[in-house]
Amino acid sequence: MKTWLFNPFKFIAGSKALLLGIGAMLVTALLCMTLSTHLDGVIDLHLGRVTPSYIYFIEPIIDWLCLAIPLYIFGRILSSSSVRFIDVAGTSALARYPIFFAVLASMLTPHHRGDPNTFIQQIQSDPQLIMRLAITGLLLVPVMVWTVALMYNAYSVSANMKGPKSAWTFVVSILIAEVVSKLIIINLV
Amino acid sequence: MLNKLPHLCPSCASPLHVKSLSCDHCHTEVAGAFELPPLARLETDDRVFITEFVKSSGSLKLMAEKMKLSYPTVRNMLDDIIARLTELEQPTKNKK
Repeated sequence: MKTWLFNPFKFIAGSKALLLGIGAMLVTALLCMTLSTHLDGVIDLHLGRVTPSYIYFIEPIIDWLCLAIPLYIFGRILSSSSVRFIDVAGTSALARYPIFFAVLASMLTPHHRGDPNTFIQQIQSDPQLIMRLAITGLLLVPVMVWTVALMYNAYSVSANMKGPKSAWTFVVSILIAEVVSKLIIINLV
Repeated sequence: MLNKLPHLCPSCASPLHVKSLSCDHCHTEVAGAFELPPLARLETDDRVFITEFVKSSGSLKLMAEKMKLSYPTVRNMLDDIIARLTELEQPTKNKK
């Protein structure tokens, strides 16, 4: 059970993982569109901004590829195994499925539709909202930790990377992916 | 039950050598100092993996299907065995 939750890549990789991951991304994008929630960064989730529908579908693709590409490059350079792009891309795609639950948890928070002042006024007029925000935060933290753990295991299995080498290359990849995905998405919207 | 072939000394963890071999048919015994080949010095699981890998014609894809594991997991297992074999061969090469 623990393996299936944190390291399903032991059993699923390659094109099967890619199809499942893209399926999960599509379902998540549909939910994001309904809730005006944006995945505007590798491990980012922001509420309320209304944009054209296609943006909701492009964002997760950008996030996924921005991480998969540096992980693949590091794997090719540093791993002793022959790393296949389909494995890194497939497992990285599947590793993003918990984000669906993060978007689901964000439903507890009122969506202020692009106006932060309205949101602040809502909080001031209804103190219960603070409680709902706190609960959302409490739900989001473990989901994000779960997502990052899955991303790391996806990299570790698909590129056969272990030890400190895998840890620092993963952290560098996440940082690169976060910056690059943010820049691309900002220029896109 | 087949006894597990020990390859390390239980006392000091140094590699063990074969001292004698015997024929079950005529009971002839050969004594000497024979080194175990690197493959025999691998753990049982590794030897089973290699046997299955050879029987699968060296196809990792087929191995993954048989073991119900993903392709990179099986490839990593093989790479780990290769690393252990290389390590086991190292002292032998140095001696020569």
